[in-house]
Amino acid sequence: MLPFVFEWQWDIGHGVFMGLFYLALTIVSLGVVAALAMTFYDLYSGKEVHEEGHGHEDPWADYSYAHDKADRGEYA
Amino acid sequence: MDDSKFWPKGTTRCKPVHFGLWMLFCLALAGWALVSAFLCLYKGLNQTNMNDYFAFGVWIVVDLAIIALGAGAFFTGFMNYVLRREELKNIINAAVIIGFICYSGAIMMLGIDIGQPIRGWFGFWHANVHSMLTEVMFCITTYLIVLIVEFVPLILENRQINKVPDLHFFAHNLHTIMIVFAATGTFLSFFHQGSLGGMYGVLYARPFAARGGVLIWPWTFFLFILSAIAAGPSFTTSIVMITEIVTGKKLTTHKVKMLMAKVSGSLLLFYLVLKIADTLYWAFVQTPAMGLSPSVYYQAPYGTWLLIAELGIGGVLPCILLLSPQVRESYWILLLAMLLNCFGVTMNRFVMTIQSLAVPVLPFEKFYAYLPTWQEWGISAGVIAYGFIIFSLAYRYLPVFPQETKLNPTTD
Repeated sequence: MLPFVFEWQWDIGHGVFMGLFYLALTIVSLGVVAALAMTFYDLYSGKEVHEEGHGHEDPWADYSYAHDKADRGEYA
Repeated sequence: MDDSKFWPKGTTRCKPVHFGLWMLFCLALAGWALVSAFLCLYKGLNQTNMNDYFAFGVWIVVDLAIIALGAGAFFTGFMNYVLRREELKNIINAAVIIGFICYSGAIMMLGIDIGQPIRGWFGFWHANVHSMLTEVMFCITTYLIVLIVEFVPLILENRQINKVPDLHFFAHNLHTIMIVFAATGTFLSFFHQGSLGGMYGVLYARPFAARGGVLIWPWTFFLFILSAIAAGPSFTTSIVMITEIVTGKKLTTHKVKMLMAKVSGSLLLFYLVLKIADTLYWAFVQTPAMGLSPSVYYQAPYGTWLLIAELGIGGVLPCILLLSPQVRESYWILLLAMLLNCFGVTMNRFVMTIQSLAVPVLPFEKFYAYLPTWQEWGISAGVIAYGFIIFSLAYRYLPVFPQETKLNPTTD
């Protein structure tokens, strides 16, 4: 898996497999680190907490179908 | 015990006693799985009906099926974050939770299947770069990490947890850069779905599974990707609809479900055209070229009914239904079509695993059948119980469905 392991071979197969594997892990790790860094910045810059989280956003609240109208009593 | 202060704001949930009884049922199933797992780890895989013929059994079937059905997470994420289909924001949380359950459940099940889970890390350290399964193992575990990262902000948005400023900002910032995780997840999921199929396609000694292909990828590589992205959105939406039926609440608008159905149906059509072409070539060109007849593949109990079930009832029928605008407007027929789509992909994973191994490949072999033991069923039931528990807890305590409060206004 790593160059210091005795089975390691410097060939294309290892390069592609391990390269992509570590690339994916690096991107995910950097993403988490970036989120942590932004969090520290928000905390120390005195940003206020908004009660509504992302789970409460509703950019597509268009209840134009029969089921939805029925649920709201429009077809009662 | 009143746990209402933990419920998402503006929602109501069933009484704690009812929820507790449901959890007891799930824990009983999980208990069956724990006993089975203990026996398999303590006494060995002789507790299963796997043998020299069936090196793969029900665990691999369930694994492949739930990984395909869990594809709703990466594909919905891809459409939402990368293709900017904003309307899917209303179902993406459920897709992530279902994906997390499917992938973590599959990995737990594989921990038992490999027989020596404490040596599971060998595949990472001594990677066989010539094996499709190495790529599968790398991608499944890495994608599970991505799913955990995608699930964490939702957990942190629990009504009480979200009051802690550190956790609130962390959840918000993870959301801000979610496109990075969604894109990485798409890349990882795309390739391991393919490599799972590729593994069967390169089984050259198994005429039922082996296929031609392009470069290093057999046709099954592409067919597995397509079938997974066709069934995944259907599975996610089915679970949401079943949750609606059980809870008696509207959780997303019907428009969102119809969009998921349309995406699912279109992808299913694309998959079916290629799958039927592949099946015809395999039956009428490839198999005779190997000196065999397709009748060799279909013997009791795995007769041609499996082909009809997989491609007809679980393929063509749901495809027609999902592509029909009138059907998509009908709640119950839409649910039926989506469940049939999920059934089709499960049957595909079953025949590629079990029927491939049942077909004799040596002159002295017979056509064998395989039935799992209660221990094997127990582990499989455990994954389902695990899914029930995680999804039930998530629904009860996390703001999974952004439209729920508007669709179910409360008087208090």
